[in-house]
Amino acid sequence: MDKEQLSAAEYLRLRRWERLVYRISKFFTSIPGRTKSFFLKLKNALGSFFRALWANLVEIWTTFREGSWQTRVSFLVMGFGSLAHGQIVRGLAFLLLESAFIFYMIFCGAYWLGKFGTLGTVETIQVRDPETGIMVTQYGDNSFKILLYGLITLFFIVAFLYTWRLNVKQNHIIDGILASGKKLKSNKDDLHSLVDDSFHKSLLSLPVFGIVMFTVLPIIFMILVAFTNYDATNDGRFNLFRWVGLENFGRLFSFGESGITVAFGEILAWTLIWAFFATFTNYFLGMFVAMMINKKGIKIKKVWRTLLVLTIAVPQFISLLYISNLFAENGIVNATLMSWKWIKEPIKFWGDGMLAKVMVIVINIWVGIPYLMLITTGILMNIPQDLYESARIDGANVFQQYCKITLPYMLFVTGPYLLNSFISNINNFNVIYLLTGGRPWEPAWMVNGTPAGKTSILITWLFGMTSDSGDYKTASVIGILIFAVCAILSLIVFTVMPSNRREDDYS
Amino acid sequence: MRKRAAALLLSALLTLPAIGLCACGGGGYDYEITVWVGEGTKTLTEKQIGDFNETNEAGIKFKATVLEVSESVAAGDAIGNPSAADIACFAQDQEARLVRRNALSPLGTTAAAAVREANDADSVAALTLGGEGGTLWGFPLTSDNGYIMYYDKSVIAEEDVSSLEALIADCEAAGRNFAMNLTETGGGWYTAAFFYATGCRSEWPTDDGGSFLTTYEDDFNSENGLIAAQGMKKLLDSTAYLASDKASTFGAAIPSAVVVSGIWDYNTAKRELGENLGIAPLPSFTVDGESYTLKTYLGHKFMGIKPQTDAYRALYLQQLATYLTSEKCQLERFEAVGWGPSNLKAQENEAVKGSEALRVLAESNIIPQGQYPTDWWASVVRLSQNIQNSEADALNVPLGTYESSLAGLLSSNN
Amino acid sequence: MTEDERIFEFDAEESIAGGEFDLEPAPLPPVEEPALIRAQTAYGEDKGSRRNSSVRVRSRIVNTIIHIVLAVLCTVWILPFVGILLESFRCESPGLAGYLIPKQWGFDNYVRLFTETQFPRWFLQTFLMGLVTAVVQTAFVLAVSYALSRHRFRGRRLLMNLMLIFGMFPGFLTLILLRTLMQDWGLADANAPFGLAIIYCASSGMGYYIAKGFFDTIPRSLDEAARVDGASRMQIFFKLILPLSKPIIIYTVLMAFMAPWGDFVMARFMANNNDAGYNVAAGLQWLISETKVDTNYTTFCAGGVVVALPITILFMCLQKYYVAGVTGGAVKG
Repeated sequence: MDKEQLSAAEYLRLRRWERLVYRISKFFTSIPGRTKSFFLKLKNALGSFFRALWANLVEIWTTFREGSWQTRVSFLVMGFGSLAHGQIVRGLAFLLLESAFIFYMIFCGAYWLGKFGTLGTVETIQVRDPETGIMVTQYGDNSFKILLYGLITLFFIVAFLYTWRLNVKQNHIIDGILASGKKLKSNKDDLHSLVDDSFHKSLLSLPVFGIVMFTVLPIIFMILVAFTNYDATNDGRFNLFRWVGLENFGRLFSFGESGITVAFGEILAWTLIWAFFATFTNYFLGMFVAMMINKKGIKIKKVWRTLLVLTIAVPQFISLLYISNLFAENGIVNATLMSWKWIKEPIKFWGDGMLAKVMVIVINIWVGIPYLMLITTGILMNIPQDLYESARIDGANVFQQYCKITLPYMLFVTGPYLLNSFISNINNFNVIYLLTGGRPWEPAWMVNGTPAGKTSILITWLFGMTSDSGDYKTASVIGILIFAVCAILSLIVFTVMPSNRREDDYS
Repeated sequence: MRKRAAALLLSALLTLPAIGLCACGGGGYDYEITVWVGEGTKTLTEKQIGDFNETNEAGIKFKATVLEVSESVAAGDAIGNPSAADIACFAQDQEARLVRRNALSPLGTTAAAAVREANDADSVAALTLGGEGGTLWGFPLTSDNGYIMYYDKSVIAEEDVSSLEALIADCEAAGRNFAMNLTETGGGWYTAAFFYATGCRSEWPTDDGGSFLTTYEDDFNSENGLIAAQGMKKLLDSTAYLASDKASTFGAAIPSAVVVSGIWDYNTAKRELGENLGIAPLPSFTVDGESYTLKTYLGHKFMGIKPQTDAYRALYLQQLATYLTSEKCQLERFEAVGWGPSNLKAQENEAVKGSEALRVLAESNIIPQGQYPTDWWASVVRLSQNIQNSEADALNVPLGTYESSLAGLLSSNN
Repeated sequence: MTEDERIFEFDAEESIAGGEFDLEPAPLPPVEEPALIRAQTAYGEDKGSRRNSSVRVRSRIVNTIIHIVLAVLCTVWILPFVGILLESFRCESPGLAGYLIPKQWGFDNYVRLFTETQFPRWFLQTFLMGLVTAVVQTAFVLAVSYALSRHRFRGRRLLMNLMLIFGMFPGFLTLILLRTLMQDWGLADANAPFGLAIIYCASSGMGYYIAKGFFDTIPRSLDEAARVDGASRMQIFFKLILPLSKPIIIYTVLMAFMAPWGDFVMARFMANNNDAGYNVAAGLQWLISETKVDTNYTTFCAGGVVVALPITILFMCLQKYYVAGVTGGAVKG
């Protein structure tokens, strides 16, 4: 196939298989270009970042050089300029923040930050109490707390620097306004803008603070853990943990016979296979069910839908556990099949690796179809009916209509959804954990007390590490890798797929 | 109206934490402690701590939060958890791991002397790490952590009970299961029965701090081991084999006729089978005309104390634990949940002697349970899985794989 | 992850296409619908249309088959719930059983559930957690969505991309840290419901996607008109946008309220074995933990029914909003 760009007319002249080959080859030939453009973008972004940084430094310097004496004092006493010019609210806010920061740094921050580099040096020891003769523990440093509070201190420092920069900018603006002879904003204006032009600041402050404290901070903490030897032995209290660089990553990727490398490879492969099947079986079967219910002439549509949707309302930890018991080797399904003489021996639904994998995918269909049925019902109804009408006039049968109209439309509309669904299936803890828990176990994959099995996916493996065996350092590495897989997938899909939606389309 | 309901809810929300916090403020108590105890003993333990508060010589009063945490869960949850219980009940095989991970504090001389005097030698030896005269890390609670065979009298003929082959044949003929967990998680505990039966050994000495020494001895990969593997293969190859150790499988859709399980399952087995329940020591298997009787581990449950910073608190906690594992308390526990005592005097009690399950366990072919690296159990399960999947004439291959995995167990961080 | 989060997973992502690093709003792309064009032009041949009674007969047969298939499907889908319901009325034995139909019917398990276990406490705690989460999460989600939809400020795209990126990290990693924090503040163990409510609420702003998509569809000309009349942004939000957003508000409330009912991982972990601090999910799971299942299984099933009933009823009543939210999330997400 010719690799050159075809014009639209030429493209339409091609036969169908040629079009397909053309599109596929286009996709592959475009990969280098896309990769290049990605790195170009990265380079540009980095470039503009440093340019902006430089511009900021220059502005800070000129603000100081050309500013009034109030401005210069503000470099040390934040908010002084605003206060001196009667902007009490702003000035006080800055001043308060600065004093709080200094107070914190003196009484806590400096201590934690000082130990951050070593994660603690004072060992916990056991001493014999002279009076009772009993061994008691004298705690030393706590690496966990040092890492945590050191990190929080770093967050505060960054926030302080940002506030300081705002303060300087503020004075720069004041100087500018005064120089031009205009009036400054009053306190009332300041407060009013918080419900008007700067309303987003009021809206976002609390939610973003919550996200930073309970998502960003913990995640950065756990990323840092991947570079330490934190686990149940080196728990930070009795045995300090310390920075170990890339050791944990190295152990995971040390190619060889060692359990963890093999286990990681196998579990990663199954995670991706699982996510693929879980996503697409649900997608197509859900669509199929929706189409059946939507078909003209089908009665009591609402009843069908409601019965299926019931499954969403019942918590999975109840329904999936029940199903897991149903299919036990000595369970009701096996007994029934045997009493019907369909099988001679019980089927080991959860005992055989391959079968267990098929089972979780099949039962995941049971879990997923109601969602997909709901989602696709809405979209199917949006497909213009005249498309089908004209197709019918052209003599297309149901299957052709599906391939020519329904499927392209659905894929077009729900493309990004498919990706999200794939990613959420990579992290689909419930179905695996409640059905098999990872069984059948593969003892050879047991690493540091964390069991893993044929149906374990990365997220259940990671959960075992954090909750059963306390192998936090490895869990962090796995977590980072899960993130990497998801991020790379999203990047690929979004750079390869033309985006079909932009937020401003609607307005 | 709606507003008032909302206000009520809000005030309820606001007062709830206050109640929770108030509850922590002690009134007339010297120490507040948390205690984790096994299934079914929560109320009893609360009562026993109350008794201790009344009777102890120092006049110490504990305010205890007693929580039910099964022994298997407790070990995992005690490690690396600053707010783990002050006193918790563990299974003995977790001891080395707990000590290695600083989840236990050693007994003081008084408590250690009391424990040594009152309890059977096996349990004291099991809780002493680092060989004879080493540090004692726990208070023996039971001497009954072994397994016996439960069977359905309506399926199994009385004369077949002592022969593995006959039991398998009975189960197959009746279309019932022979439940013994050899190949699932936790199966290592039962797999060992076959190997010890033929005289194999696997011993893993530790130092005083719970770290394993390099001087382990293990001869599973030997002539005797091969015989054991051949015996196992008979059960593993049977259609009746079920990898489970739950007496509840007597009532499953495909019911079991034989279940090998701990004596803790006695009540469940009794409920499922009623009059038809039979119990017996583990059977024998025959290889090349020679018969070998399966052995059972005998392990212990114990109470351990979390490391403390306050010496007096530690002292009184040890006194409390000594009391909770005393003859009186062990007997009360036997009456309530049927746990077999480790206390020598309690063992002499008529009621204890009359317990059918304990009697069968005592008649069993016993091997005292030691300490093993955590991953050793997985290695043993892997061995039985490999035996299951291997050809009958190639059983030395899985044994070789097993042996080569042993050295790695010591380097494992666990 | 609970099943409710599963739904949220769908919506958390925002396109990072084209401009991973640009901070400005993306330019308007031309509206293209290549798939449709292809679909329309694909029918080259003209087979003509022949309709007769045989077609109608065939369609009736097809419809009958579909009815049968749907009936079978629905039976399969409902079967586990019927099973759980039956188990909850089984009185002859408390453990797992090898048959479906109870031999002895009765309400014993329900009585036991409410008198011998801490279930009433778990239920109340979960209910209150659900209420608090519903209120706070809805407020947070609406606030973030409105700000991101209507305000154009520096760092907006960066903020959205960062929320997307942080949403991709598995949450279990942070369990140990969050428990340590909550223990330091006295909000774990028996007080776990308070800690949990904080954790559920704190990061809920990250689930802004569906609501933002909805706000995006409200024409901005409405805002402009109001601003001309002198309304502030806040007044527009409360008086104009919110009244128009009933479906999405109900959807958000419903999702937030349901989340604590199915969370058995975090709730169990935060309570640190203290059954007084459990929610229903952790509590019921605890009832069937390995050493307890033989005496508690039917009680667990009764608990499952008691939990599922109110949620199911709520769900049935508000189904149409749920569908609107999920569909919107899928199309725009």
